[in-house]
Amino acid sequence: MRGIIFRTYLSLLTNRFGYEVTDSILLKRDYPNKGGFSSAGNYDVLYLEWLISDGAYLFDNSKDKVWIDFGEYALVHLIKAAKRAHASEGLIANAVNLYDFLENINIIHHEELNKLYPDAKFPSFDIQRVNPRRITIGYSSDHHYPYFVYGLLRGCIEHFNDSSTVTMKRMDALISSPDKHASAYQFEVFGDE
Amino acid sequence: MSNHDKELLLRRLEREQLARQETEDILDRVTLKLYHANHSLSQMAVTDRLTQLYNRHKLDEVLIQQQHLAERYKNNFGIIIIDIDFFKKINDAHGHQTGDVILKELSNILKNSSRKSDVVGRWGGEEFMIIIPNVSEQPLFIVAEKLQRDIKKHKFPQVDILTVSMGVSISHPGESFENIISRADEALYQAKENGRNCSYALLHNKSFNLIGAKNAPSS
Repeated sequence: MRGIIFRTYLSLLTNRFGYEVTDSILLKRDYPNKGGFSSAGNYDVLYLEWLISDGAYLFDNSKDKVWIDFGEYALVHLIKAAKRAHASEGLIANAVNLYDFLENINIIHHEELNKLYPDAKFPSFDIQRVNPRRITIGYSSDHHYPYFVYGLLRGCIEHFNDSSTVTMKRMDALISSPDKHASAYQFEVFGDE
Repeated sequence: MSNHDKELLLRRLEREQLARQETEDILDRVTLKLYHANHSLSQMAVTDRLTQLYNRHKLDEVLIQQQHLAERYKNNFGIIIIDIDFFKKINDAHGHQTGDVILKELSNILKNSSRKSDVVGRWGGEEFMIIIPNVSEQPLFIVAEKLQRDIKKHKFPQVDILTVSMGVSISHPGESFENIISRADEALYQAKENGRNCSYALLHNKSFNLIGAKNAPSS
């Protein structure tokens, strides 16, 4: 998994709980570079699962809640980073509302990310714009992070200062991967028209 | 600052330093990869895929450069255009794959028979061009004769006989490279008209000089 995800998570811990807490979590296990993750690096996903698991006590002992809060935080963090990198162009700078932005998520994933990281496995998103203020997003992935996606969507709503709601339900019928750990979920984002 | 705070700060600094070092290592690797990719792309942009000689685009560049150098240093550069005789018949009789093999073999001969300072490229189809920098007429003719000889000597296993015709020209002060190519083309035409398997040079004063031909008249 990309190092920027690790750094973003550690930044969430530090901003919310202070570096002493982050430090204590990093000291619990044997991480590469003693926990000095590089944004440009690529690390075993197991390390992130350790970090999430060891941080759960800070989030009502719920790993799902860690993922949701991490998703919300990551969205804001990644948008800021993307704006710094591409100040005046691209999907993020051009997006004017939540639904247009969500409708175009696949552009990022399928074209830009695959160019940058040809070996990486990305989740797939099946996006349907039902009406101007309702969108469904089918998510399937070999990794099991639906709560992270849920948090990202909440982060999107917050970023666009929108009053919409997001719901999530498991959809095993959508799974096409042979990996038995793969999962599929459907998210729905909707608001008053 | 308490010892505890100092230790915490030191660990934080160490992590950041290690992360930074890793970023720099990654950046070095990516930069190197990018350099090789760019180099490979630059090579592809100027190389004819089949023969691995320079392509027409590169030859055009070299011609412009040679024209400027000739003007600057008051010297001449020569051009030899080489055309395989009856190449269409070879393709028709033996197939395009055989045609391609012959093009590659001939390319190797041209490359090996030329000097390192000469620029050898595929001008298009079964036509090749050699650009010879800083040369006068006699050495240019010697190069052409040597090429003609080397090609004759070579046994192409795919066909019984393979011959080429050549058109040769040399630059003159203030002349555009298009003119020089026109003369080489015209000389090649003369070689074809006069029985093929020979070389003609068309000089600035419009006289034809025969090089290595067996039955063509010179004027």
